[in-house]
Amino acid sequence: MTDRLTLMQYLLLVLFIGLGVRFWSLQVVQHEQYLRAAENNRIRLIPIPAPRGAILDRHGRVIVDNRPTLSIVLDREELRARGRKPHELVEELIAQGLALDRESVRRRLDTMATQPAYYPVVLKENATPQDVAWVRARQIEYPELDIMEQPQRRYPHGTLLAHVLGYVGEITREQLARPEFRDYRPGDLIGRAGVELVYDRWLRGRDGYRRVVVDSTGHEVGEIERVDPIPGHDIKLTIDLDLQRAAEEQLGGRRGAIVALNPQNGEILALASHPTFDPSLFAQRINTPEGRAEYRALLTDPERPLYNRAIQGIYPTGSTWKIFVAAAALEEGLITPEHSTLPCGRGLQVGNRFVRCLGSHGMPDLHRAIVVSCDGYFYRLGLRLGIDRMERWVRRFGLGQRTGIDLPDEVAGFVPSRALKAKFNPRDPRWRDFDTVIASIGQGSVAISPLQLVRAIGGIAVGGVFHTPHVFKEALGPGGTVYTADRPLIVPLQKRTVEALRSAMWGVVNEGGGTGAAARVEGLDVSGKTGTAQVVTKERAGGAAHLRDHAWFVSFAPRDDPQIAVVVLIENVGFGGRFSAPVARIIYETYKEKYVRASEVVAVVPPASERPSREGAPVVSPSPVALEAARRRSPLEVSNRR
Amino acid sequence: MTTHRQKRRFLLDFDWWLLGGALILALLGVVEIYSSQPQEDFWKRQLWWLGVGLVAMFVTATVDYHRILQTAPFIYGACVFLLVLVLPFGQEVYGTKAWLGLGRFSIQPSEFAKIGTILMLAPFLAERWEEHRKTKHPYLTMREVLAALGITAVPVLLILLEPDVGTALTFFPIVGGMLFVAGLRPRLIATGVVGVAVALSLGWYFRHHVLKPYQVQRIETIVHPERADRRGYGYQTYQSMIAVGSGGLTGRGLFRGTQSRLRFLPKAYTDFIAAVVAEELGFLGMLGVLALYAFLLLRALNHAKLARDHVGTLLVTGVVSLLGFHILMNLGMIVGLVPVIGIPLPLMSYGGSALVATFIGLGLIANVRLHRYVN
Repeated sequence: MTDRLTLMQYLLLVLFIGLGVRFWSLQVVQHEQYLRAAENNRIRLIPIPAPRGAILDRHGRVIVDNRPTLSIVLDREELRARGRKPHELVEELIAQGLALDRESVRRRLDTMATQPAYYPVVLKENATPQDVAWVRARQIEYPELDIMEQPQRRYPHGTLLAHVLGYVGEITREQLARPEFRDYRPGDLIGRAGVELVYDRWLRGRDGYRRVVVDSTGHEVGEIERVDPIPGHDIKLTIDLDLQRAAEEQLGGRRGAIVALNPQNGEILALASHPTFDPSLFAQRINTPEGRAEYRALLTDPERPLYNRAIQGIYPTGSTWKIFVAAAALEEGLITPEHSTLPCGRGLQVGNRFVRCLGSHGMPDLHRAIVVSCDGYFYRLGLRLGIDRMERWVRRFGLGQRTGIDLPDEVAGFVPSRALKAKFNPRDPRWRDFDTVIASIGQGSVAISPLQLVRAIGGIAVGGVFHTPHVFKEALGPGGTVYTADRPLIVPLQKRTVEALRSAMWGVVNEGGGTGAAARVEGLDVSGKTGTAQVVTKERAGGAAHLRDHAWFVSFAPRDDPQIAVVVLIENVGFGGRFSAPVARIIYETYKEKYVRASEVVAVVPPASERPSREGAPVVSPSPVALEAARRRSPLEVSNRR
Repeated sequence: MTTHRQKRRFLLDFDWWLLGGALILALLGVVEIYSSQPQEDFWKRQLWWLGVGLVAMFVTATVDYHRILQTAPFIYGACVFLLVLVLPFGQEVYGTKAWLGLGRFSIQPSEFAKIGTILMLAPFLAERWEEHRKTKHPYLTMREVLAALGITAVPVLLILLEPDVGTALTFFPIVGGMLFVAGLRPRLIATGVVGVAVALSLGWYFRHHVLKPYQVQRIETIVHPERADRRGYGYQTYQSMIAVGSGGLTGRGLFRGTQSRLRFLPKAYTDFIAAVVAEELGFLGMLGVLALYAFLLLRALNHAKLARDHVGTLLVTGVVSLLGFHILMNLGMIVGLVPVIGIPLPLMSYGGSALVATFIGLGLIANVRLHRYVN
């Protein structure tokens, strides 16, 4: 037994000596070689960018998503270890034939200088297969270069909806200095306009990274840590792609704006502003000389394509304003639907000036005055109402203030008031009757956005609830959210006021002599009001193209249960009834095709009480098919109306 | 009853050298655990377990080992029970269910099963030896060898179910060492050596059938280091060798090893702790560590020779086989001579159960020495 224990002792001794020899061999004999290997061991941080959430329309169709692209990145730690300066390297790479954009690379290197060296700097995004091959072939000469995958914004519909979507860009140094951008770092993409800006925190997700060990040639030898990215939320908008496409096709090359929304809840179905821009410029080409030239051209274009006319453009409303004057007068009890006649008089003498009406309308009642857009009637009604009551009512309807839409840089605009005149017209600060007369047909100091106008008309049409217009419907996925920022203005209007105005606006489109006849859609009961806003007085304009009138048409449908309200504004073309009403018709037709089934056709016969009582305007006879459909739906209702 | 005299004898006779050597190694382990993971509190936990280990060592050293051996079947049974318990209730780490949660801490029953097996084998083999000593050939019979293997097989099979092949492997040197000392027939030793050699070569020939791909790769890394895939399974061995080699003669300085601190070396605080020592303290530091381990093992085998009876001898032999195998395999793995099989370095690697079990083993050695005189 003892012998065997001794044997074990010798065995252990021999093995320990053997280990000692091995340690000697590694640590003393081959020390140099292993020390070099240790020094060549480097850690690299390879970010895995989180894909930004997609933007979808209300039916889940993709408007914006991402495509994978490759970027050439620089590892500054490796570069430093090789004793080289980044700027030198960039010059050398360009001289060697790698197509880099000197300006953007310089800017990036400067902004990234504040970051730890293991954060890579993107030298070139959208690397072409040639660029990638170039880098791969020179891995030995330039171990500090790497290829990284980066998702990039993709716009399958081109410029469609550009003003709502906005665009993305690299976060600026000024933003980074602010506390609310604490969790962003240089080089991060951030929404810079539109939905991309407002809902950036939902869309962006959180980047992941891999911490890997690379050897001296930049070859990855192992992964130490991996944190997977958390993709951003997909966002569903209230926009309907088909309506949006129809709206943009209708604007075509003309300057103007179209907004379609649901007055029952403020959801925006289409929002177009022309001329427009290509958001992919910012996502894909901004760091190239061509891209920068394109951007400069956008900024200096006199037609201002970056500017969203629907929420940032403010215009006189022309005759569409008459609806607000009429609503105020009815609510104040100055007129009633039954007793509302006033003379047209072909115009009105105010002091030493005669303000003309475009036609000769005799003694119209309110209904007829709206249908034929009689200015003389509203000059007189406006004087009765007075500027103070007019101002109070239009403000209640949300005019001259921001609607609270979830898009940036909305403009409040102006509504006429004594204070406004005093402020802007110091040589003649006193409010005069003439100002009231001009204001009552939406000229003078009226300047509101198309969005404000359509929200106000839609709000009146649904009985006095003015919802907050919005484009955000919901953020999808776990932890998502729905739109909750609706803060409606509520102005309880008398039922007969609403009925009278709906009926009058129905007449504008559907009765003989109506100015908006071009918007008529069989079986949908489109109701609206045209407007022709003077840019300057007729005498001064003299027919110059850029001084022609703005054409308005604001409307809703169906008359008795408004589901959609549409405003069309086309700049400097002429009469609203001629230029904007037909555009609205196309949008309503698209809407009808999509959302209205035959059985849901409503309100075919105008109620007898709303008929023009004295003027004897021709009654539009309802089509037999539609009448039949309505009868099937509610025979009682139809007979009651008769 | 502990009398004054007994206390005095304990203080005089306790193997303070054994304790001292073990303590130096364990404290060095704590320092290097801190060095490789300074931002974690692993080193604090290890220090706490070291305290538990010291208490356990004194307790196991004091009570006469014969009285401990009387409870051996219960201890062995308890260990087996815990090994069964771990299968449904264990915490899974890196695909192995080896830990039982106990509040803030968790224990690894397989570490204690090693001691339990030694305690079970020692009296069994000692009794057989007593029976044979008067015969002409005082060797174990085949049946007795198989019985000893059977005692070992129970925990081994349970550990293989976790599955933890590395730990299961460490039971064979225990039973092998103890059988060898208890009187294995020379012919059987020769057969065993040849058998293992044949089994290994057969296993290697059919390696793709017997082993998992990663196991094959780990072994191939050792056989052909120049062909090793340094991004894959060769990575750990290669990085460990870089750590050791870059240490040089005097090391890169305490807390200055880049391999461990920058985490090129995976799991530097557990299985690869010796690589950290080699990197930071160099060849001279490593020589000291090797010397201390050799000192502990050789000194323990001297105690085995002086033991009062064969049970004592076999107890010490079992513990030395256990520790020796761990130390040699672990250090062999560090320097790229042995495939990475996940065997920790006794006394130094992070791990409470292993540390406490090691100190219990050392306590048994001290116990055998303390009670070497027949009263």
